[in-house]
Amino acid sequence: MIGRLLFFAARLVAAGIFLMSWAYGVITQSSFAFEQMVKPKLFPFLADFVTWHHMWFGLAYLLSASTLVGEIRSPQTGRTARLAAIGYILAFGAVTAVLVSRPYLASLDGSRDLWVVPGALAPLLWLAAIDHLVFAPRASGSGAATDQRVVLRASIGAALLLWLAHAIRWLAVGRGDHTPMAVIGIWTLTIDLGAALLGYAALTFAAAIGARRARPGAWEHAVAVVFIAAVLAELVRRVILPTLAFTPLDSALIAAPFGVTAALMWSGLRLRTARHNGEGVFRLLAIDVRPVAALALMALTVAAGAIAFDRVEYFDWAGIPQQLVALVEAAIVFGLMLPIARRWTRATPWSMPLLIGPPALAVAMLHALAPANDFITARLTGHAVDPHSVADRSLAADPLARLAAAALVSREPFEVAFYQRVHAVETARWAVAPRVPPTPTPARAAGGTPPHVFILAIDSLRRDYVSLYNPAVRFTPQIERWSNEGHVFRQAFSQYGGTHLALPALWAGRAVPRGWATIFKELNVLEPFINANGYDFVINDFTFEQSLRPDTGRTFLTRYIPSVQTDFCRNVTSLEMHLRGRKSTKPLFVFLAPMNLHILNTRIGEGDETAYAGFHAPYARQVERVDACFGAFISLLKREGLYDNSVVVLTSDHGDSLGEDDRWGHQAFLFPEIVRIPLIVRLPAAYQTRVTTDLGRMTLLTDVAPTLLSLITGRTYDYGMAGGAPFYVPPGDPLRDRRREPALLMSSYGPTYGLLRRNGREMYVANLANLREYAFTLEAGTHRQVPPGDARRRVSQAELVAQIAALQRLYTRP
Amino acid sequence: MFTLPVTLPRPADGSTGDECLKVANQPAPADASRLALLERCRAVISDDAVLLADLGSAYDAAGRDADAERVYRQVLELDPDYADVHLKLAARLLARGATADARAHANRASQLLPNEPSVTRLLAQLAQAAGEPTP
Repeated sequence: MIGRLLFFAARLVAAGIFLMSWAYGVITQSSFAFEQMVKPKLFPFLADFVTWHHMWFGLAYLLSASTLVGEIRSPQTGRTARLAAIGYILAFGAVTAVLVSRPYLASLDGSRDLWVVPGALAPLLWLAAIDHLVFAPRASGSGAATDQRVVLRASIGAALLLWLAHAIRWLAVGRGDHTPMAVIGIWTLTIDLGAALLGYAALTFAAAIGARRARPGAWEHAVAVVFIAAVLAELVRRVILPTLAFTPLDSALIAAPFGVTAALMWSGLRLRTARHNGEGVFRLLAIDVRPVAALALMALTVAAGAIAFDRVEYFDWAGIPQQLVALVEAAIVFGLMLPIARRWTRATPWSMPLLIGPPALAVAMLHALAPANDFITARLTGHAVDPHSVADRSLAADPLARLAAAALVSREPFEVAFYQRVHAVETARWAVAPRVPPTPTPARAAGGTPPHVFILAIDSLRRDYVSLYNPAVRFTPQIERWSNEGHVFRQAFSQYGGTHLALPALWAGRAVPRGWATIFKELNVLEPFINANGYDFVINDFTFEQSLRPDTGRTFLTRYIPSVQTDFCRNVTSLEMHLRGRKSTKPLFVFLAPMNLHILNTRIGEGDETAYAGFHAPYARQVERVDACFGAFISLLKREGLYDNSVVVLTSDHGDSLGEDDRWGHQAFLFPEIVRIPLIVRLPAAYQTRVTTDLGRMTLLTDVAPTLLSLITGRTYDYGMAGGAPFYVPPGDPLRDRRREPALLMSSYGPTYGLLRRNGREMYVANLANLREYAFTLEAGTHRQVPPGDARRRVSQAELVAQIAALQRLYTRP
Repeated sequence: MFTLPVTLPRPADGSTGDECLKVANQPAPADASRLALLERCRAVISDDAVLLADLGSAYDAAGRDADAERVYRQVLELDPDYADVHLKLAARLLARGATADARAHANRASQLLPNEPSVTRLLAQLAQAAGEPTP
């Protein structure tokens, strides 16, 4: 028993290491995901894993090789199997030696490497092959075909149990949702049950064919391998990879080998434990324990699932971690349901009605869902509601239903031409390897010494968590007090749903394509301005700092603190130390992008629910901390005699979803709460009377750089369509007419694009990953989701394409 | 074509014309030539502040002062930070002698458009009308 446990522990640890290597290799295939996740060390454990990968690989090799010793020694092992086992030890021993002498994973720099993805799966496939060579001949596989009633009862039982567990968790968490609970219940139960019955249909159909074959057990085993491989491959292809900016072809090429490898690995391990007692029951899917133990294990699984759902939510990945947990939970519960169903099911003859009836019922239920939704929603709410919105909100209550919906719910797709045009942006040459557009060289400051410049781009700071934009906020008194000396721009937006594009765009003064890093040295307009004016440049940033020119002198504050842990208060302390230590009297250019409010730090955590009633408490608590440190920052400037001659810009790179319709984070999608940002600017007294602005007109993050350049040099820097423009101009001069100009929006990962119209009061979003369109009306402090409608869709899509075309013209090689 | 069991249709509004959705993105007309179009579009899209501001300007240009004032007020209900409309409404109110109301809108325009010469001129006219020293 202990030996078997050690065997499985060794195999699982080794598989975990090999699959981590595979996952990292996949990330390196997407230069965008690599730039966003790996370069800034968003996940410190991943960086550590890569640094020590050669050692981890060695450990995986030793563990996996140790599991083969028994087979090599056993006289029962055939010649081919023994040679395969010896071959594994020799081949991967050599690979380990090479990796230890020349660590490979850490050398990948985001360029597409064709070796690591299949390479990481190779040892798992080899081990699976050995398992099959050794144990497949010993498995008779001649057991009787699975009783269809067993599969039916297990499928229905698992679906009902999981639906109930997820519903209870949903109610316990107490989400503030406007969708009637009855509607949520109907949606989730129908999808869960429908998926279970269709799964039953697939398995029982296979069992029916197997019953007519000589070795039904072997047939069912093979069918189950195909079933698992298909489910896993589709999960990776449809759900995971689209959010990492992979094309459909790349997704398929990556997903299929993964699904096959994982299924064969599991098949090999289950062959080792087969008891061949004559019973069918898709042994590969079943977890063979006594019914009482199965019940206890199911309770444990559901409880562990509930905890896991809460713990993985903060990963900010479009609900994918929750769906993965749901898949594992469902697989375990179904596996445990099978022996229970077998215990309480009497063997009966095979029945055609039982083969056709349940899936027919499932299809009927699923077809009736959309019309029933319209009818019930209208009756309960008194008005028609966009069925897509109801589906989104309902499915958010149950991760399993959300996962199943990917295969069961059809969203009427975009017009083909629009979809192709926009999706092509993900891989277009101009976007991946853009050319350098004409960029005017920033001049020296007009009138001698320029003012100090402080840009504080607080990561993920939402506008409605600042009292200047939301009177209900009571935790930003320092910012509110300071704003009396500055200008509060009421309609400021980030065009990006993530830092990776937002900050480079801020520094370039333009919308940037995903491949911005390749030309950032030429695209960046603030850096030459800093150099031309002899600024003392102080920075704390992990997004683009590595793409600055090496010869640009700079002081990097708190360099050795990982990106995700950068804290504004510590930034201020470090800045104070810098100011006290510096000898020069050069003007200061300071750029800080602290991560206090990032979803990784605020999804879960402490926060007095009473003190922050109506707000997400962990986030609000951090906002209060940032506000206090902002007060300290202003005091520091005043104490050091810098304040009177300083331009201070307080903004953020983007906002965040904090539970709206159960959305968390910001990376793969676009919603109003993600693009609305605060923008408050304080000018030195000498500049205040020289310029005018319009605080009620739409202002974009890309306007910050042209504004600073225009303000300080006295020239006008307007980068045209797809570019920023100054939001301060000399009195009497016209501002760019942002009330009429639309603005292009892009998510950080994945093909999600949007458009702001009508001075930021209307937002259209085309999410090409989940084929969804959204339209919102943005009012002061709030927003309403509205049906896109044919005309709005046509106009928005046409304008979105025109904006993309402008971006393409800007970045296309002649 | 293969469709999945649960098919959600796209909602259609049908009534909103493309022309009206685009009209608010055109350069603002200062004359009455587009009045008919703007009025037709207001009947279709009643909540577009830019479109209504254009309509108010067109009414202004056509000498329909009462209509202009009513539409400007509608704009400010939709977008209380629309500085140009505060300014235009203040000028309209000043023209018909409602100086207190005009001053309120001019002050709001002044907050939203700091140092803007047109606002400064209007405030000076208001002060003059009230017999106060010119700011």
